[in-house]
Amino acid sequence: MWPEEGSGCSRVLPFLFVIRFASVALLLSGCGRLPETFAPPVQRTALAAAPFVVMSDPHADDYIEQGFRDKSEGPWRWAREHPVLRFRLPRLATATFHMTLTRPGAPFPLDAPMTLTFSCNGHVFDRARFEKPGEFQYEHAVPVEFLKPDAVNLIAIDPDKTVARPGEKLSFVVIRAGFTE
Amino acid sequence: MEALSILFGAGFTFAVALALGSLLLGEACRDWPARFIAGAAILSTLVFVLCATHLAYWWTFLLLGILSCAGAWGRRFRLPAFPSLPDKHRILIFFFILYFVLYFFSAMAPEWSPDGVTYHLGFVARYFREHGFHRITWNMYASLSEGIEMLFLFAFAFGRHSAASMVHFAFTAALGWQMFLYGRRSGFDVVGACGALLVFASPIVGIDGTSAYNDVAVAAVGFTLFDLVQQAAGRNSPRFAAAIGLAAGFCYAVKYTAWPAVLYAVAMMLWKTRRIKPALITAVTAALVITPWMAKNWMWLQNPMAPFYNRYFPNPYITTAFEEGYRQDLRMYDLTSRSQIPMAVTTSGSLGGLLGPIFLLTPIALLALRRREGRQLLLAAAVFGCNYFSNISPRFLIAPLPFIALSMMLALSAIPQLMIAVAVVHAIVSWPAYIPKYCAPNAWHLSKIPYREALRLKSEDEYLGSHVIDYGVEQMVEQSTAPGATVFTYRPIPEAYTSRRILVNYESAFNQTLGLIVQQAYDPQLMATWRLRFAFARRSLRGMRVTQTNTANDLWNIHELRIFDGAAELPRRPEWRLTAQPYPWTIQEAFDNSIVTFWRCGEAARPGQFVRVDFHRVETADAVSIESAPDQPGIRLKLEGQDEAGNWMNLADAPQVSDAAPPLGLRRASMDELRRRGVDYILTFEDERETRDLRAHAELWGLREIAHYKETKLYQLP
Repeated sequence: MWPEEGSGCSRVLPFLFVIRFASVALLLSGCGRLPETFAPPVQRTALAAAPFVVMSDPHADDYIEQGFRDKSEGPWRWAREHPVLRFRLPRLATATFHMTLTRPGAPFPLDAPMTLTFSCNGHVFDRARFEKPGEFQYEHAVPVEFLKPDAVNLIAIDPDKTVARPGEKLSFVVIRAGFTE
Repeated sequence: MEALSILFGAGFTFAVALALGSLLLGEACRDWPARFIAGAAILSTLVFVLCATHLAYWWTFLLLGILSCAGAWGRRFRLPAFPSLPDKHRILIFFFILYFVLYFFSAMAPEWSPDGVTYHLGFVARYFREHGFHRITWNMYASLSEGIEMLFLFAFAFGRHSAASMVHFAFTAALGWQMFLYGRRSGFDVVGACGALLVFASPIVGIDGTSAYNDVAVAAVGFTLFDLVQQAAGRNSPRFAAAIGLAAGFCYAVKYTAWPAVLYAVAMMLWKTRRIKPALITAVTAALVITPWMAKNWMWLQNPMAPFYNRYFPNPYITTAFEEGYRQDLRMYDLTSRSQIPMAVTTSGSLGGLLGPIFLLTPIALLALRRREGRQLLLAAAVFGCNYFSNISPRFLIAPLPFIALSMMLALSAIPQLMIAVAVVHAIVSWPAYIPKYCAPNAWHLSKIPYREALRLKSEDEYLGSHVIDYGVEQMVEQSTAPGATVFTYRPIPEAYTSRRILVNYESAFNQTLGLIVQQAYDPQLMATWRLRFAFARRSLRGMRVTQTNTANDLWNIHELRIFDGAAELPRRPEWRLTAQPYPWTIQEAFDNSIVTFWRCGEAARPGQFVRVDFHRVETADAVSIESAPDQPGIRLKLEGQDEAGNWMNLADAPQVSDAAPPLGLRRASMDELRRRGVDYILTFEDERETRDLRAHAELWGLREIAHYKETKLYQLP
C-alpha cells in the first residue's frame, strides 16, 4: 500500500543512496518497460445489492407480492387494483423509495388525474397525484420506523382508479422500483 | 529571545553560505553577492546530503557552519559601494534603505505566505522533525527541486519559520546589490542603481522575496550567473567556472522553470572562453547540484522530473490526466485571453501579485538592443523567461525581471533624469500604502512595516490569524488528533504549523482516489451503476483483453470486471495475472469484489488502452460484465480473447449497456475504504461541494465530529 510514511530515524549511508540510484539507473536504462502485472487481490465482501426490482429482470417475480400481471411486457409490467411489492431490507439509517412508473393515456381518459397511495407494512407514507399521462420518476422518504430491518417489507401502491379489462382491473405501469439509503 | 533566534538562524545561514562561497572563489571573485550565491549552492547540496543520510540535526548544521566559517576566516570580500553614486542621485539610496527596512521587518514577521505555510515550510518542518528525507508519495510538491528549502531548513533549525523567510530576503538583497555591481562594472552606475531599484521595489518582489518562496532566489541566482558569465572572458580560473556551474545547477535546484540556465551557462562559457575545459567544469559542477534532485525523484517516484513529464516517466503517483489539467490551469488561470496578461501582472495583480505599473513600459527595453550589454541582458531575459507561459503568475516573471529592468534603464540612459524619474515614480507607487489605490482587492502585496510583529512585541497567533486563511484549522488538527495521524482534506491547510500527515485531494493520484471514493458514495455520476455486458459463444481461452477504441476526454474506469461461464462467475485464481495500459498500478482494484474501489486509467480516453487478464491456464467463458461509473460516456470498448494456441481474436465488438441501482451502504463503505488506506480523519470546510453530503449526514457515513473551528469540522473515521 502506498503512500509510505518514513520509517523512523533509520540511518541511510550515503553510499547506499548512491548504489540504489545507480541500480535504478541501470534498470531503467534497459529496454522499454512493459506494463506491470499483478495477481488478483484478496477478495472483499461485496456490499448488499440494492433492493431494487427492474421489471425486465427475469427474477422480477421475486419482488412481487401481489397485484401485478404475471409477466412483464418488455421492460415494464402492468399493476392491478392493489399492487404490493416486497423488499428484503437491512437496517437503514434513512430510506427513500423510488419508482419509475408510467401513467398511460389509454385506456384512461386523458384528462383524468390519478392518485397513488403508498404504504409500507401497512403505514401510509405518501399520496402522490399524477395529473397527466406520461412517465414519472417518483421518490419519497420512508420513515425508518415503518421498516422491518433484516426482514421482508411490503410496499403497497393503491391507485384511486382502475380500468376494467377482461378478467382484470389495470391501473398503472411499473418499470422499476426500490430503495436507496 | 525569539527575535534573536530568528536573526541568528538567518544570519548564520547567510554567513555559512558566504564562507563556503569565499572558500570556493578565493580571489577569483570578491563580490559578496556572488560568493553568497555560490556558497548557497554548496550549502544547499551539503544539506541535501545530510537529509539523505538522516543527519539533519541542529548540531550537525552548527558543526558544518562553524567548520565552513573557520575555513573561510580572513577571506576578503567587496564591501558596499553605493557611495560611488553622484550626490544628485542619492535619492535612489534613500529608497533602497526605505524598502530594505520594509522588507527586513516583513521577512522577520511570522510567516504567512500561502505556499510558504502549506508546502515550502511544510516540508522543511517535516524534514527537521524526521531529520531528513523520507519517501513522500502523497504530495507532488515534495518532488519539486528544493534547493532553497535546504537553506530554509538550515535556518529553520535555529530560528524556525521566520528565519527561513529571512534567508529568502538575503537573496532579495543580494539581487539588488549584484545588479548595482553589474552596472558599475559595465560602466553605468546609475543604470545599475535604477534597474536594481525597479526590481527591489517591485511589489511582487517585495512580498515574494520576504516570504518562504523561491522566486526571488532564482532571480538572484540567475542574475549572478549572468554577471559571472559576463566576466568569464579571458579568465582562466577553474574556481570561477565551477562557481558558474554551481549557479547554473542551483537555478534548477531552486526552481524547475530555470533549467535553461544550465544550457545558457555552458553555451556562454564556450562562447566567452573559446575553450572546452571551462565549459566542461561548468557542466560538471552544475550536474553535481542537479543530480541529487533527479536521483531522489527517480528512485522514489520513478520520474526524475516529477511531478512533470509523467507521460514519459509513467508512475503511480501523478497521472498524466492530472498533469495536463494542472498545466492547463496554470497557463490561463481565470483569464479569457492572453492579451489580459500585461495589465494583470503589472497593475491589477489579479494573478496573485503585481510587478508594478511601470513595467507596462517593458517594450522600451528593446531599444537596448542597440548596445552590446543590452543584447546580453535581453538574451538572458529570454533564457529566464522562456518558460513563463507555462505558468502566467507574475511570480514567474521575477526571474527575467532583473534583465528586463536593466534593459529598460539602459534604453532610457540617454536621458538620465527621465531614467531616475521612472525609477523614483516606480518606488513611490509601489509603496504598500499606495498599491491598493490601483490594484485588485485581493492582490498579493505587503501592507505595512510589521516591526512589532517582527520583534514579537505583538502576538504571533493574532498576526497569523489575521493573515493566514484557515489559520486555526491546523491548530485544531494538531490538538484533536493523535500524533502520527493522517487527515484527508479537499483543501490545503497551513501544514508548516502542524506535524500531522495531511493528504490533500489534488496533490497525488492516491489522494485523488481517496477523494473519488468519498464522492462516489453520493454522486450518481461516480457510482458503479453502469453495467457493460459482453456476451459471446462459449469457448476455451488463455486470456482476455478489453480494449478502448475511442478518443474522448473521459477517464476510462472500472469498478469490477467479472468473467462468466453461464450463470457462474469464474473465481479469480491466484495464477491469473492482471494488467492495464496505461496506469496498471491499481488494476487489482477492478478485481477485488468491492464496488467502492476502482481502476482509473489516468489518461483521457485514447484508442489502444486496454485491461488484460492472463489466466495462465485454460478457462471456459461466455460473458464478461463490467461494473463502472456512468461518467465516461465517450468510451467505446471491445472484447478480445486469446485462444489455446495463443492467438488473439475478437469476441465482441461492443457491450450491452444497462443500469443498476447503487448498492446500499456506500457511504459507510467508502469511509471503511479510506480507513483501510490509512486515513484517520477527514477535514471539511463550509460550502465545500465535495463534503456537503458528508457534513449533512455524518451519521450515515459513520463519522464522529470531534472538533470544529468556525465552520470547519474535523471528523474521525469509524
